[in-house]
Order: sequence, then C-alpha cells, then structure tokens
Amino acid sequence: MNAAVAASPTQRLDRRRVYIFPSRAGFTLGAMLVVILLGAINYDNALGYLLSFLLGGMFLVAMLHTYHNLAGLDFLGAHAAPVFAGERARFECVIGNPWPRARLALALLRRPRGASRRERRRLAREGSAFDLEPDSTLAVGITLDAPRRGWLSLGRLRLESGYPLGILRAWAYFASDARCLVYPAPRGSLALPYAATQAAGSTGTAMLGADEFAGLRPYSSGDPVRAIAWKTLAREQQLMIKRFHGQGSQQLELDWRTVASLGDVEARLSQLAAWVLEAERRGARYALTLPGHTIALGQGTAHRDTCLRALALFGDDA
Amino acid sequence: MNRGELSVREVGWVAAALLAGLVPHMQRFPALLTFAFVGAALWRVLGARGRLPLPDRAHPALWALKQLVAVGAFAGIYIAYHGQLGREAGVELLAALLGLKLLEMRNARDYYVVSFLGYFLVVTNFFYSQTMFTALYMLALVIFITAVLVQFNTPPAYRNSGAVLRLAALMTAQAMPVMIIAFVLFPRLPGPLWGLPQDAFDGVTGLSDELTLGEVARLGLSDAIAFRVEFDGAVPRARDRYWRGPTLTHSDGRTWRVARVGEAAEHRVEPRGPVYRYHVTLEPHQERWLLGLEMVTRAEPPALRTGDLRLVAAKPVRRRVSYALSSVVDYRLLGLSASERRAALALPAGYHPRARELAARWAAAGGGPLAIAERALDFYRRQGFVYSLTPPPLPGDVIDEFLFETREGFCEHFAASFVTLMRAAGVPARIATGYQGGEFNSLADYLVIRQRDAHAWAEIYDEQRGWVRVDPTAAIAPTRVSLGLENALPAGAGRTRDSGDGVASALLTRLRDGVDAITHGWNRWVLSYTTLQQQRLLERFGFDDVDAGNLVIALTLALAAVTMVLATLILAAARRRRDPAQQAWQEFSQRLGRVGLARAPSEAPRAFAHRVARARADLAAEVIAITRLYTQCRYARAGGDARGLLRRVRRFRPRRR
Repeated sequence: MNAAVAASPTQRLDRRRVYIFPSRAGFTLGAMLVVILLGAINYDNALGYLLSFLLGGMFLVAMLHTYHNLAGLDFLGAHAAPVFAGERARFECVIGNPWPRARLALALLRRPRGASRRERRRLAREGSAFDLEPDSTLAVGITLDAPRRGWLSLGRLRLESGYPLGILRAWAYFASDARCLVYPAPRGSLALPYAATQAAGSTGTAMLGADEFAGLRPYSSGDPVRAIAWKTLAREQQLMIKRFHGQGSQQLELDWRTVASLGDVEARLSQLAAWVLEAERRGARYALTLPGHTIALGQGTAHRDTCLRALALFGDDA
Repeated sequence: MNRGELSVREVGWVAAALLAGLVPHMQRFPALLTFAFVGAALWRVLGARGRLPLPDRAHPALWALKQLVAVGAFAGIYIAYHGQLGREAGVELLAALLGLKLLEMRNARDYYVVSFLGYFLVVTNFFYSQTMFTALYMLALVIFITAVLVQFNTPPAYRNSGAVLRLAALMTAQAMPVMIIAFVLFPRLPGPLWGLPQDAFDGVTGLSDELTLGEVARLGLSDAIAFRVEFDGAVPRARDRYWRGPTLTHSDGRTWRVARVGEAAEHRVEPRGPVYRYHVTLEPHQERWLLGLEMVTRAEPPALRTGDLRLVAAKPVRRRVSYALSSVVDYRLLGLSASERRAALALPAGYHPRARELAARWAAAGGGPLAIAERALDFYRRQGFVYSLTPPPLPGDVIDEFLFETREGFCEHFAASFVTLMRAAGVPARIATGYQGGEFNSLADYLVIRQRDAHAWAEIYDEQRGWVRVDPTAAIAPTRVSLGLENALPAGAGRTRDSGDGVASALLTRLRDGVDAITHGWNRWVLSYTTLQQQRLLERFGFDDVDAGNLVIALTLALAAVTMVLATLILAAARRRRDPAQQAWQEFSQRLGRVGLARAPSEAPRAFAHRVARARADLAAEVIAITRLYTQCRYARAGGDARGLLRRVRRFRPRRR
C-alpha cells in the first residue's frame, strides 16, 4: 500500500485549487442581511447599519476561515484492496495536514465530471466525514459499488468543508488515478474438476502422504502462520514455509475450456473464480488456463490473487 | 454530510441565544407570550433529551395543541393590535414565530433558519433603543449566535464551549474593521424607502410651539437633554446664551401660537460683535423647528434659515439631528412687513382690560418703545412679582389676574404679560421661545441644554434698533438667566436634584458628565452619522466632491485592502505555533525526498531512518543521529534541543547518487 501511495504524486491544495461559494444557509443569511440593511436605510437606523455591516464582515471573515480550513492540505494518493464484483470497493484516500492547526468537519466524496444533479446528491450522502489533527495524515475510506469485474477507477474526488459557520462551502478537486481491481463474482454450480486433473495424471506428487515434508519455499503474504518454518528462521535470511504433500494438496487444472458448457464469458469467469477460491480453501494446488494465458500450478494467497487478477482482467488489454 | 437528530447541546445553545435576544423585549411583552416562548424552548430541550415527546406528526394530540397555541398567539396579537402591524406587534409576532420554529426545528436547515432569526431578533431591539449599551448588547448577542453556528459545525469530539466562544469572538472581532469601514463609507440614501409604521418613533415632548398660561410647568423640572452644542473656538457668556426656537405672535387671550403671517419681511442681521461657530446635536422632538443661538447668521444643511430668520428642518425631527451654525449675540435685527406689524400689535378683543389700561397710561407718558419697555420692567420689579415654578392657577383673564392679583409665575407668564402690555401700548412685540443657558460637560468640551433650561422671552420692535430682546424674567430673577433655573428658585422650592454638597456629589457630577460625554460622542458620530457627517469626515481627510459613486469605489477599495490584511493575519495565525522539531523533521524528509528517498506518510521516524541507512551507507550516521534527536524532541519526557535539530537538518545536504 505504501508503494501505491508513494507512486502517485502529492497534490497540495493551493489557492488556485480551492473554490468557495455560499451554501444554501449562506444565501438565507445573505437575504436576511439585505432585509436588515434595507430596514436600516428605511428607518435610518444607525445600529441597523452597524449590524448588517458586522454580519457582512462576518461573511467575509467566515470566507477566509473556511478557505483556510481546506487550503494547504495534501492529497497523498488512494489505494483499494481488490474486491469481487457485486461487493463495494473501499478506497483508502490518504489526506495529510502538514500544518500546526487541526482541520475540522471535512468531507471527502466522489464527484465524477459531468455527474447529474441526482448523482451528485447521492455521492454527497456517501461521502465520509473526518477531521485532521495538526501534522497528521489520515486514510479516509471512500466506498463505491463494484458491479463489474475489471478495473474500477476512483475518479475525481471532492474535498469540502463548511467549517466554521456553515454559511460557506469550500471545496477542491483531486484527480486520482487510483483504481481498484474487481474480480469476477465467484458464482457457479459446477463441482471442482478433480477427476479431470487426476485423469490427466499430471506430475504425480498428489499421491504423497499428508504429513510428508516436501521442502521449503519462501514465505509469501497470505500463507498460514502454522506453516512457517520457525526453526529455520535463525539461519535463513527470510521466512520460509514448510511444504507438505497430502490429500489437501491435490492438483487441479482449472481450464477455460472445462467451463465451456456455461457459454457466457462472464459466467465462465465467475465459475473459474469460484473454483479458484474453493481450491485455495481446500489447500489444493491449482493451475489456471485461459485463452492465451496460463498460470502454472501454485498455492497460497499470492497465487490465488494472481489467478483472480487474470480472471478479472480477462479480455482487457490494458 | 448527513446529520441525525439535533442534540440536546445544539438545541440548548440556540434556545439560550434566542432567549438572550428576547430579554430586552420581555418587559414589553404580555406575560403570556413570554411564558409561551420559555415553555416552547424548554419543551424543545426536554424533547431533545428524550424526556418529552415533541409535538410532531407522530403525536397528533400534541401536534394539535401546538397548532392551537400558534393560532391563539397570532390571533391574540392580531386582536390586541387591531390588525395594525406596527413595531410592537411585529416584535411579538417574531417572538411567537421563533417559539414555534424552535419547537418544529428538526434538521440542519431549520437550525440555520432559527439561528439567523436570532440575528434578526437583535435588530428589533434597535427600534426601541440605540444607546451604546444596546450596541454592546448587540455585539454580545452576535458573538453568542455565531458561537451557536460554530458549535453546530464543529464535530462533537471537538466541541469545547470555551474554544467555540473564543473562535466566535475572534471572528466577530475580525469582522469589526469591515463593519467600521462600511459604516463610514456606505452611501447614505436620503429618506425612507417605504412608509414608516406610526409607532416607529417614540414621541418626545420638548418645547411646544404653543404656550398656554396657567398650565403646569411641564418642562421646568425635566433633566432630559434637549440638545448639545460644541463650539469651534470662543463661547458666549451664559447670559447671552439664548437658544431661539419658534416665536409666538398670535394670542387668543389664553394661548399663544405661531402665527401664519401673510407675508414675512426679509429680516436682516447686522452683526456687532464676534461670530460664534458651533454644532448643535438636537434630540428628536417631532417638530420642524430647530434651535440656534440668537441670532443665527448662517446655517448649513440640514438646518435651513428662512427669510424671517426662523430655523427649520425640511422634515419633522424624528431622530437626532446634527447641524452647523454661525451666530452673533450682539446684533441689530431689522425687518417688519405691514402684515407682520399688524400681527405683532394684535390683541384679542375684549381681553385684558386692566393691562390695556395700564399700558395706555405708559404710552401716553411718551418716549419710544424702549422707554415703555423700561417702564414695564420697572413695574415687575417694584410690584412684588415672584419667580415660581408652581404658581397659583389663573382661572379668569390670565394676563390681568397674573399682573394684578397673583403676581407669581415663571418665564411664560412674564413673557406673555410683557408682550400683551407692549402691544397694548402700541409697540410691536412677540414671544420668543427656546432655551436659555446650558451647562458645560466637565470632562468634554461641549454644552448640554436640558429641558429644564426651556425659556420664553419677549422681542419688541424699535424703528431704529429693530427687534430688541427683552427678558422680563431676568428683571425678576436675574440669576435664572445668569446661573440657571436652580439658582433662581428659593431653597426647597422644587429643586430638581439633590444638590448635596461634598465629594460624593462632585463625583456623581463627574460620573454623570463622563457618561454623557461618551453618549454625546456616540450620538454625534454613530447615531447621527448621515450624508452630511460623512462628507464632513471625508473632507477632513482631503476628499472633496463626495458622491455615491465615489463612495462605492472608496468602499470597494477599502474593503479589498482590509480583506487582504485579514487574509494575511488569518493565514499567519494558521501557520504559526509550528513546532520547530516538526518543522525540522519535515525539512529533513523533504531533503531526503529530493534524492529519491521519500518518506511514506505513515512511515515511523525510526523505520524511515533504517530504510535510508540501508539504502545509503554514506548518509547512515547523520540520518540516524538526526532521527534520534527528533524522537528525543518529540517523545522524550525531558524534550530535546529542537533548535539544534533544525540547525543540523539545515546543514544536512544529501546528494543524489
């Protein structure tokens, strides 16, 4: 995640990027101010003049305060863990406040260009409210629907705040190139193709006993903790995983062609995704074959993710 | 973002602010309205606590009750004021509306509307009072209502009443320069934009434009201020300070009035002494006439000097007005048309037979008008006339009874009887009313003329000397004119104030004068700040030719300048108080970032240092040392040398490899 964040350039909110405009409450107050001023003129009431000018001044001061509540913040990038289609993607957007003053009542929301009024209102409701302590950074979660597999772009973000009086709203846009990988929804009723792999009679290790030690391999994230070779930790440079062969280590060939009966591309990908998850859950070793793309036998979350990624991006040249 | 139900705290704050805004009105409100408002506020707060159900649609019985109270309140106000929406009715309606709105308040939008109506409530006070105290009260309320808004916009975790109030006060203070600039430069439009309700102004009884003998001396004892005068330079002596108001020419035997004379002669003043220049700030008296030192030679708007030397305003003086005049106290005043002469000699037929008889004898004795006047004054002096503010009533022929029976009265009696005698003797005469004397504020350089300084005197016409002032009261009670009313009265006879001797009284006088000096400044520079004052002030700063267009330009420029200053100040405040250790760390990270060793936002200092040290052995020693210093500064209980750290960071110049 750090790498992803560091990769996108920091965007600081300077003067040119912060916009400010009265909110609806601000317009109400403005109308009231005009009424007070007209009354003051009509009655030639000196205190009426003073009050309307004081409130006018307050508007101006509120503008400066609202502006400074937003200005100078940094958008340090966003990142989202992959999700399955149909789930909600959660982007962690990192906002930094490098100044010695807390920024209060901020809201981060999505605002794609050209969004309709209704869309904007919905997105405003979905935004997340947060505050920033002095000299701090915070990951603000923005969730959005991930209806289809493939890349889901976060799009343009809007950071806004009405603090301190709520009569003005300051906002700024961040163009974010962050995207979330959406795996195909794991769906399908076909059973895991055990028979097929056994019939194919591949490498043969599948017949080894369950507790038979089969060597070490480097740790990759997602490996079960109980499989870590703690004893070797002292002499090895890195964490190693003990490999065993047993009934949990059946080999599976997950092939695009096996699911041809499902017809529809998405249904086939969904079935394959369901198989990948199932195989991983069972501790099997599995390979994935897609047209023009083959992933060799493997196991573990990293392998699973590679497979799911291939399924997610199937047919996507990007 | 989405907000849930309004919290107790939010409801409580806005309810308290509205109550504070209503406090000055409550003395005028019917008790029932006050009770209903406080009840509604309490109900809403308890509702927010969940102690009471609120009168919404979910509770039809309560909802109906609320509607009933609302209808009752509006109907009550309508009936009480016979459907006339004046000042009082307007304020009461606003209070009723606010109470209801408070009860109905559900979401952020309602909350803002109710808070803003609180600002509106502040304005309603100004219809009743525009004193400096009211202004301070306004300021406190504005801070309070602003605090209501600030706390509403502050996330609950950060809501600290002290900090919220401080921010509201700071923002109000920052808005003050804008207020002052706009107040000074905003073009003042003449006249009302729409009709004024009839009760927009309180009637202030001052000097009257008619004089009825035998009525109680209304003004004699009033300490209320009639006007204040600031002299530019020399000040005339107390006994020369006759502040002239309307002159009364027509008599029906009992009441004297300003006469409508067919054609007034052009009066001419020939100065015979120094010219006094001064500003008068007149309290509203609902009349058109203005007051000036006798005799006015030059008047600046809004004061107008008519051909027959009356001083008037274009419209009745409904609010405090300030005008500049020049006067001479030593002068010759000429001008009397034929119709004026007839009016100045007229006496109602059949009245004052004894006065006429006495005057006829003086006229027969010969001599000019001045000699006859001297005889009349002699008559007052020798026949046991007494100056008194509580003279016996005069049920019959007022002049004859006063002159020959009671012989006890005040300035009006003397002036009216004197003018009657003069006319009966064939000398044109009239009554001049106004004020006499005035005392200096001991702390500031201006003169205060109070209602008890009201006075009436006579003017007679001599062909050579013109109009000559004769003050018969001065003949009886010379001190009334030279020292003021208090000293003219015998001890114990209706003294106006406790004139207890000693330090306490002197202190009280000084205190009173101090308060009045502030009030006068306030009146002059704030309350009666009009187009004229605006021009005068800007001329003082060297701007000629002030018109609305120029003012708008000046206002815009001044506001732009003050905005820039405020922006700089607020920005500086936002960036100040930076922890030097933090600053050093930031610079340190930036320097390493420039050589390709950027620190990830969430990377802890030590992890970052180790990563850098592994990557760049050449920098390792310094990076680790700086990081250690920084962690000492930030986290060690004893703290560290933050400035030393900053210096060391600034010497640290990593190069790209």
